[in-house]
Amino acid sequence: MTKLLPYAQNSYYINAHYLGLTRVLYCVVIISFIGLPSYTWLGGALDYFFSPPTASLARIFHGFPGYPFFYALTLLNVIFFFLMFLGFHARWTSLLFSLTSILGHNFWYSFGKIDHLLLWIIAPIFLGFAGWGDHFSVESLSKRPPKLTDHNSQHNNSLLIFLLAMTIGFSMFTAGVQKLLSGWPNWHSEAVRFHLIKNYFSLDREELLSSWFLHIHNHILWKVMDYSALLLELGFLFSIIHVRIFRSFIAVAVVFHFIVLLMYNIPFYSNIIAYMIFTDWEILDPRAKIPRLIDNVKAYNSVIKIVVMISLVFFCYWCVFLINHAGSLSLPGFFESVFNAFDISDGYKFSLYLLFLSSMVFLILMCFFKVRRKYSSREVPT
Amino acid sequence: MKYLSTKLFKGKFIPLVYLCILVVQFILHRYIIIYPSLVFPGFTGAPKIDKEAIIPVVNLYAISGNGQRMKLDKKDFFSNLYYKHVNYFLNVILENEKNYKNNPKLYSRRRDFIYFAQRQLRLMDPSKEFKVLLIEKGDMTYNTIEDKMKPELTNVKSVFISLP
Repeated sequence: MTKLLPYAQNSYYINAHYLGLTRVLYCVVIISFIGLPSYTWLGGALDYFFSPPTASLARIFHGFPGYPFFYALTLLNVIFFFLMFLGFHARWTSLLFSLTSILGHNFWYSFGKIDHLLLWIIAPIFLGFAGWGDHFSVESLSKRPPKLTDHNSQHNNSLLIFLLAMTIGFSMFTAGVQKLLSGWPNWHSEAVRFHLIKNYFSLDREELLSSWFLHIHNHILWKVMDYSALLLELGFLFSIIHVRIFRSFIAVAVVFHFIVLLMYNIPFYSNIIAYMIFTDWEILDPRAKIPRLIDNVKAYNSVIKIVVMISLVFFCYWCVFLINHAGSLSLPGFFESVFNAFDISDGYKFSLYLLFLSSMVFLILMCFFKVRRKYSSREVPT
Repeated sequence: MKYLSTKLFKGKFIPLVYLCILVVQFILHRYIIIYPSLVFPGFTGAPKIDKEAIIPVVNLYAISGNGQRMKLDKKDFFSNLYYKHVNYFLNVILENEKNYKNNPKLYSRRRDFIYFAQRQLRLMDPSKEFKVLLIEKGDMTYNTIEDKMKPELTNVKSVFISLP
């Protein structure tokens, strides 16, 4: 085990320039599709509903702390998010963004139920210390980042990336184990179908393709779905043995989450964002043009200027929104705001659908690039 | 100490220690609910559904002075709260209704809830004056061959909350 883990770990190294770009992409995805949570609505929640989990920070309190607390928490969360986006002391601002989010969600899930949209919140803790603020950040303007050729000064980030992969793998594995122990492998049960019926009638999740799936009466097909879900979730933890295997599992998981959305109407966006971190940059940027941006001062500065502009615009927008919409559940992302502007009701939902569609398109493109690269390398003799 | 600083904390054993922490959390999770939790929802339960599937439901009704019962949209009733957890709010209320008489803190909080319920009902239907809130929990039976839901509930547990 002590030999196996370092072997696995080493495969997770991400070039520091790509890691910096990952930070920018992570924040852009949140700004575009998700928005940030607003905890202000919790200020008006009745203490009669206060029922936090047994082990939760909210247990320290004996009720919901009130509006000033949740306003301050939401504002701090927003500030740390944008400082992280700008790459300003990114190690600490990433950590503080995650901690304020976790604290807020401790109260969010104090009504007798917790959701598991956690990976996107905790990912910045790992990535901040892995050095995702070293490039494409405002700090790198004053303190020029090490050049592409300067390998010695780039610290090895593989350990933290590997720990994040382990976190994802383990989370999926726990879901698989619970399924395994609760009778999913039993040939006579149709677990996926049972949960579809439960979600459809008990939780009113009747949109997209759920009605269509509900009328499927093919036992073999349902069992294939049961076993596929089991294999994927149980195998995830073992797939971390090498980043290439892990990426294959991520590719399948993107399709899995897309089917879950279509069937159960559950947009499990948290994992989709976390998967993005493991993008294979060798396929996306085969000629390594992005790291070379460092040497092109003008282009590099332009990227940072765009980041600063987006940060300023959305920081102002969300501050104004926070003042005008007390009790809102979220600070709307770009697409949600566009949908709302066109009077499309439930803009948040459509924005999430768009995220899932985009992830599927991205996956197809990655597969295409990979196949093309494989065949082109065969044709050209080296 | 030197061993710790060189080997344990410089990478070699960190994944192993971290994995152990995750395993401990998973074991603990079987007994208590933890947040933040890296134990994902398992969608546990895979009953045989060759003819029927039994699923739990919880409904909310308001009863007017003349005994007329109106089914409420749970999302509308809890409109200023997290709409995805409406069923769980009702479960918490059901649990609190069992205990509030023996718990002075819960008793006083219940008064706020009744005020909240009256205000929400006025917003939902200003023309009617509702006297009772009814939470009904039970099982619905879905016929998996004909794809039909039986209209009646079984194993029904009802809780009436009077609104003075």
